[in-house]
Parts: sequence; C-alpha cells; structure tokens
Amino acid sequence: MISEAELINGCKKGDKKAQKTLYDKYAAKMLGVCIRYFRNIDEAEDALQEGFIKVFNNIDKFRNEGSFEGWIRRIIVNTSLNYYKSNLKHYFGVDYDEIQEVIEDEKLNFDNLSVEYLLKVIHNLPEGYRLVFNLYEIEGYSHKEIAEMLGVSINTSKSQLMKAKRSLQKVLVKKENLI
Amino acid sequence: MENNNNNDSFFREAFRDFERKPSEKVWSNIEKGIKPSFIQKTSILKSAKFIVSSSIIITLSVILFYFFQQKNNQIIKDENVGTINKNQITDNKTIIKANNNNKDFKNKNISQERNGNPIKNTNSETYSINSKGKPIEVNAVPITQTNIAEKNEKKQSEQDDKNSLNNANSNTTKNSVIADNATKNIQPVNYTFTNTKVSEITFSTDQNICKGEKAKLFVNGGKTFLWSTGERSQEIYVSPDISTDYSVAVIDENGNRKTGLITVTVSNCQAIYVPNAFTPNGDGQHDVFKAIGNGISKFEIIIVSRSGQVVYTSKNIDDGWDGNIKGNPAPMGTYVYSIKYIDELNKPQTINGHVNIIR
Repeated sequence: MISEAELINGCKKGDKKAQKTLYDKYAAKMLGVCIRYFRNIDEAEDALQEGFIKVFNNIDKFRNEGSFEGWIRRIIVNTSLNYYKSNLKHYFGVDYDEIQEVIEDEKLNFDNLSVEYLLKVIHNLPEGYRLVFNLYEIEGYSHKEIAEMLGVSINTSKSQLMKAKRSLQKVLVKKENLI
Repeated sequence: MENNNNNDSFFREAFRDFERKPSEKVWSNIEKGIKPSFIQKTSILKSAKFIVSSSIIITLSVILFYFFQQKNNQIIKDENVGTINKNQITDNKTIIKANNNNKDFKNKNISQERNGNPIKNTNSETYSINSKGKPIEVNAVPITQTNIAEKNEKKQSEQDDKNSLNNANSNTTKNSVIADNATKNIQPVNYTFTNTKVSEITFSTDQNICKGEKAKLFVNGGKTFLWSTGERSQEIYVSPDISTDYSVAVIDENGNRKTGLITVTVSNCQAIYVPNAFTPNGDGQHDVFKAIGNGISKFEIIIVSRSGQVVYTSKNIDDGWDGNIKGNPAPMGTYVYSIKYIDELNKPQTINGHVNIIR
C-alpha cells in the first residue's frame, strides 16, 4: 500500500500510475460533491473532470500543509461554482443588505431519509439557494467565505440559506409530491 | 455556530461518505488534460522571465510617472504665477459680492453685524494667503476653501432659516467659482455644506425585456453605487434569462443612503413562429402548415383563401393544415391566416399573415 504522501510525490513527478491511483481514490467521493451542485450527472462529471485536471496540473502547489482531500475538495467545489459564474448574478437577484433580522433556527427533521432522497431534495432547490445551502450546510464554509466565493453580500448568503431552509421545510411537508 | 445550526451537522453527516462512481470517459479525458511534467518544470524559467519583464515594466512606469509629475508641476507653477492669483482675487470679490447680496436682501431680518463679521474674516483670510505672494501649492486651494466652508458652516448655524436659504446660494456661487478656477490639474475637494439641498436619487423604472435582450438599469444622482450584480457603475446592462430583481445601494455626496429595486421581467417574446410557405407534396418535408409556439395558452388559427373561403380552423397548436380543402388539394397560391393566442404574460395576441402553398 502506497502512502498518500508518496502518491502525491508521484503525481508531482508526473507519474501516470500515481495519478490514476489518486484519481481512483477520490473520484467517486468528489463526484458525490459535484452531483450536489448539478441536477444533471453529465454536468457533474464535466466539473469533476475539469477539477481533476486542475488538481493534477497544480499539484506542485500543494505544500503538504493541510489535508489533501480538503485541498482537492476545494478545487472541485470552486470548479463547480465556476460553471455558474457567468450566470451567478442572476441567481441572487435581490441584495438583502437591508435585512438585518436574526435568522431563526429552523429545525428540519430529515431523519430516516436516504441520501438519494436528500440529493433529490437539494436538486429541487432553486440555483441560488442550492449553491449557498451546499456551501454552508454541507461544505461548511462560513457566510463570509461564501459571500467572497459567489461575489454576493454576507446578508445575501444568509437570506438565501434561510430561504433554502424554508423551501426544504415545505418539501418535507409535501414529501409525496416530490418524486 | 453549532447552536445556530442543529441540522447542518445532519446534512454534512449524511453526505460525508456519499459517493458516485464516475463513468470511464472521465479519466481518459482527464489524462488528455494533464500537462506533461516537463512543462511544469519550466515554471522556473517562466518565473525568471516574469521577474525580468515585470521589472522592466516597473522601471518604465516609474520613469513615466516622474516625467508626468514634473510636467504637471510645471503647469501648475506657470498657471499659479500667471493667472491663479488674479483669479483668486476676483473670486474673493465674487464671494464678497455674493455675501453682500445676501446682506442686501436680508438686511431687514438680520443684524448687519452678524453678517458683516464673517465676511470680513473670510476676506482677510483669503487675502492674507494671496498677499504673501507665494505660489499656491496644489493643496493650498482646497485648504483655503475648506476654511471658508467651515466658517460658513459656523455662520450658517448662527443664522435663521430664511437666511440659510440665501446662504446656500452664496455657497453654490463659491462652488462654481472653485470649479472654474481649478485648473485641469487641481481637482476641487468635495465639501459638505450643511444646508445644500439633498440631491434627489431616482432609479430607472422596472423593465420588460424579451429573452436575450439587454436592459439598461441606471441611477439618477448619487455618488457611489453597488448593484446586486457586484457592479459599481452608475448604469449597468443586464440580460437575465429569467425575470430578476436587481437592487442597488446608492450613497450620495452627502453620505445619504438609498436603496432601489428594479425588476426586469423577461418574457419569451418569440412565443410563436409561423412559417410563410409549405409544400404539401407528401415528401415528408414541410407537408403541413402549423405554427410553433412556446409558453402559450389558448390558441386559435383560421386560414382563409383569397376568395374568402375558410379553408382551415383549429384550436390546437399541434394540429396543422395539410393543404387540402375538404379532402381536395388546395391550389397553389397565397392564403391568409389569423392566429390568436394568449402569451406567457397572459396577454392576448393576434398575428395576421399569409402563407404560400408551393407544390
């Protein structure tokens, strides 16, 4: 069994075998990330493909300072977001800078639901909500980071998340209508 | 944050080990996309090039900057010696005049002493600087003016409402004088006059556009702008695919904030397409005449021959005319149609046109 550090070194040297091993190790997991951003599996695979090309072409920039999976994941997420870039501004029509209200914690009860079902729920969110929901709830970025990544205000990020949650709640109520 | 989101850990947890196996083609595409490693090695070479080229650019820009600065200084000095001093003096006169007018008009309401004092002050102050005969430095002009502005503010606070209106006039006079006076190289500083009229900020109205068209959104007035698109210009062009609300936060020169919301409604304008000819010869191509519609509800078509005979009617957009009248082929020629439908925006629409039968 080759260690990850050896794998990464191999990739840095351009070793084909190392590259393939690394790909095999992370591809399925990263497609699992991509698929949350796209309703369509083809689009998700495109993003995965582009993301991995970036990973391999920039692997010499990985300094072994943090988790390698985290590094790949960040690239994959950014690549997925890039697919939205040209249209990004349309997904966040209103700037909710004026809204300063405290966003209530809306408790959602999604227990006993399969991941596949949850994925469907996420896919049913409008683009803007989905991006913020993915980034905040699952990737774990802060609103500040999300605001920077998407080029929106922090309050927009917050309000989109709030709306996403409300939307999810509605979906939960009308569960049977979803599929 | 943990308190804030009870369910976030749930979603994160749910997707932690979520995997989806990619198809085979992904890897082969990636392989093609990976740069050979020797290119990566040349990055050192590249960076060397980068350093050389950037240093050249920096040196050039430094030289250019100095050159420009010197030239600018020259101009300022020249004009200072030659004209500005004179201008400055005439300015003061203008200012005095303005204040004097003020005095004349408002004599009845305000004691002369009150009004008189500040004028004297302003007067002597400005003169003292000029009379020293020093060339006015770039900074000197704004500083003097600010002093006046400050004085004026004090003065204004002392005066009653009626007078303040007049003072505003004198302020504007000064402002314009400053603008005239300022050479191209000296930009006037923005002054805040307490009683200048709050500039009105208005926004362009909501717009309806067809899909693919551009809409121009703009703000009248204001100084800094931030659109929900991230743009920071006074006007922006947008071309959304779906109806979208755009907001803009505006700050005017007095620091007042105002937010506007402009809705751009996008409709599918080419909701219906009607061909202008068809060939009902049974070859499988263009045998049927029918309209192709998008997002329309309620549809009605009537086709009439030149002699006024109704040859075809339908209320279903998916049906088409096969070019027969009562089972017999219609003669070649032009037929007139009228189509009525309700478009995406629930507006009734009518299209009249003609279609040719070509056999």
